[in-house]
Amino acid sequence: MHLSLIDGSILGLYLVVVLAVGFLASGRTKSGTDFFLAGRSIPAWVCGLAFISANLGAQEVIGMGASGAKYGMSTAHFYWLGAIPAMVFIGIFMMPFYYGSKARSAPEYLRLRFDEKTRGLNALSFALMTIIGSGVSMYAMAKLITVLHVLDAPFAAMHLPQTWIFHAAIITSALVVMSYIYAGGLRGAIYNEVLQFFLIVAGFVPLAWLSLKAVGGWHGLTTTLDPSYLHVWKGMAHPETNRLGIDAGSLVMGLGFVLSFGYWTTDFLVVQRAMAADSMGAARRTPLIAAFPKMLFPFLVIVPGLAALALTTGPMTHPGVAGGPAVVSQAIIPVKLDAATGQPMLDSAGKPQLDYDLATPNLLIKSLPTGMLGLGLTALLASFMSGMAGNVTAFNTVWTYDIYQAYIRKTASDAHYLTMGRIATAVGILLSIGAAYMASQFNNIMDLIQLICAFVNAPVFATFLLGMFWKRATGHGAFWGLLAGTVAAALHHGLTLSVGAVAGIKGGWLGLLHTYPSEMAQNFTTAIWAWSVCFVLTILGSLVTKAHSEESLIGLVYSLTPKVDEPAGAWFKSPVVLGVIVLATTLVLNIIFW
Amino acid sequence: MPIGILCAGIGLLLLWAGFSTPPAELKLEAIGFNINLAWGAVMLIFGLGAMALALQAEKRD
Repeated sequence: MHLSLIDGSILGLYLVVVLAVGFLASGRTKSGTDFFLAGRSIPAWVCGLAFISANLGAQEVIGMGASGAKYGMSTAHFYWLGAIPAMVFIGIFMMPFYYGSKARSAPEYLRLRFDEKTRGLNALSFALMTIIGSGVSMYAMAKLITVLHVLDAPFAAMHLPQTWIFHAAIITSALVVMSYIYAGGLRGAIYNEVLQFFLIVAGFVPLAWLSLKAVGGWHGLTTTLDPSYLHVWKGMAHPETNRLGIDAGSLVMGLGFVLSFGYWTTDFLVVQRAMAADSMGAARRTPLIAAFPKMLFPFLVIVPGLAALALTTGPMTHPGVAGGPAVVSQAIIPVKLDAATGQPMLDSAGKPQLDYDLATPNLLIKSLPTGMLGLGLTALLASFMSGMAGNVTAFNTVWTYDIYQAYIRKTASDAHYLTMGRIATAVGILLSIGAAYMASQFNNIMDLIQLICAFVNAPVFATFLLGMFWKRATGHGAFWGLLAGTVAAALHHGLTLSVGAVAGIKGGWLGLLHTYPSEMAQNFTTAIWAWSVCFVLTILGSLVTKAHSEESLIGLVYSLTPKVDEPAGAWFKSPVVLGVIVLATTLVLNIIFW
Repeated sequence: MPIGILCAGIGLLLLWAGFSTPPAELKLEAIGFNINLAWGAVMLIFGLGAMALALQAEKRD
C-alpha cells in the first residue's frame, strides 16, 4: 500500500490550511481572554461543531468502528444514550451557570461555588487526564500510520529507516498542533476543529456508503450477520442475551447517567468550546447544535465496522451472542497475532480473535481508490489532531488559571498569563509526546484511559450536580466527597475483575470479591460506585459543615439564580425547542433500531 | 473561508485524480462509477458555496 502524489497533495493541503488558520487566528489573539476563551466571541454553530469535533479523537473514529464490528449496533448506545441526553441537559440546565458565572474554566467554577481545595483537586486530576488523552491520540495516529504502511515507500525512497515512521508521525503531528494553538490559542483550535469536522464527514460519508453497498445494503447486513449485531435494545434484559454483556439497568445508570453526564457536562475539554461562545444563548445552543451531528455519527463510524465484519466473516450461522464470528476470509479485519509467537490468538471457543481496531482503517485502504484514499486518511488525521488539540487547549487553560495563577503566581499582568499559556501549550505537547511513548510501552493504554475517566469524571459529576442544584452543598462536603468517590472507584476496581481478565490494570489488584460478565459491566459499575459514594458523602459532609451564605451563591446555584429568559426571536434558537427536537429524534432512532 | 478553500482544493484534487488515474486504480468495477469525479464535484461545489458565504459575510460586516 502506498500513497500517490494526489493522496499526498490532499494531506499536504490539509496541513497547510490548518497552519494558516492558526496564524490567521493569531492576529486576533492579544489577551489572555483571547487565547484561553477565544475572546468569548465565537458564534453558536462554530462552537457547536468544535464541541463535537474536540470529542472526535482516536477512541471515536477507530474505537467506535472497532466496537461496531465487535458488539454491533448496540455500540450506538454510546451516542443515543451515552451522549445526547447529557448534551441536552448541559445546554438547557447547566450552561447558564458555567457561562453566567464568568468562570474561565470548569475547575474555576468549583472554586467560585465551593472552595480552593475542591478546585485544586479537580484541576490536577483533569490536567493529568488531558495529557494522557492527548498522548494516546498521538500514539494511536502514529501506530496507525506505521501499521497501514502508507509512508513506507516515501521513507524507502529517501533511504530512511522504516522505524523512523513512528517517530516522524509523532513529531509532525505534535509540531502542527503546537503551532496552531501556540499562535491562535483557543480560537485557532476551534476554527480548525470546525474544518476538521467537515473533513471527517467528507472522508467518512463515502466510506460508510461504499462499505454498505459492498455488503448489499442494510438488507445485506441482516442476511449476513447474526441478528444480535443489529439491535440496540433487544436482549438487553440480561447480560447473557446481548453482545455488550450488560443488563439494561447497569447500562442506563452507568453509561446513560454517570459516565455520560460525567463526561459531557463536566469535562472542560468540551465545556470550554461552549464557554467561548459570544452570548449566553449561543453557549446554551452549542451542545444542542452538536447533538444533531452526534446522533447521526453511528451511521458514519459504526456501520463501516459492521460492514467490515460482514465482509470478513461472510454469512453467519447464528452463533448467538456468546459465540464469536467464524472467519471465512480475512479480507478486511485481520486475525490478531500473538506478538511473541506470531501465531493467531484464539478465544475461549478456540476460534481466532479478530483485530477489530483495524476494521475501519483496513476498510478505508481496501475500498477507497487513489484520491478518495488521501481524503479518507486526511479525515483520520484530522480526527486525531482535533482530539489532541482539544486536550491541549483544555490543559493550557487549566494549568495557567487553576494551577499556575492559583498556586504559583497569584498576581501578574494579563500579558504574563498569556505568555504562560503559550509556554503551557509547548510543555503540554512535550508531555503528550512523553505520554505517547509511554503508551507504546504499555499493552493496555486504552483500558488505562477509560479507567482514569471513571475515576475522574464519574465522581466529579456528583460534585457539579450538587453544586449547581443544591444550595446547601459546602466546600468541605464537596472536597471530601470527591476524594472519597475517587477512592471508592479505586477500591471497586481493585476488588473486581471481568470474566477471563488477569489481575492488574484490568482490576483485582487488591483481591477478588466479584467477577463481572464483561469489562464494560465492570467499568460501568466502577463509575456508579464512584458517583454514588461522592454524591452521598458530599451530602453528609455538607450537612455537618457550615453552609455558604445565599448571597455568595447567586449565579452559581439554580434555586438562587434568576431564570434565564428564552432569547427572543426565531423558534429554532430556543434551547428548549432544540432540546425537545433532539430528544424526540433520538427516541425515534432507538425505536427504528430497537 | 479556510473551510471553503480546503474543500474546493480537495474537490479539484479529486477531480484531477478522477481524470488522470488508470481505471484499475479507480476501482471502477467494485464501485460501479468514478467516485473521485462525483465526490470531487460535491466537494468543489460545497467549497465554492462556503467561500461565497464567507465573502458575503465579510461584505456585510
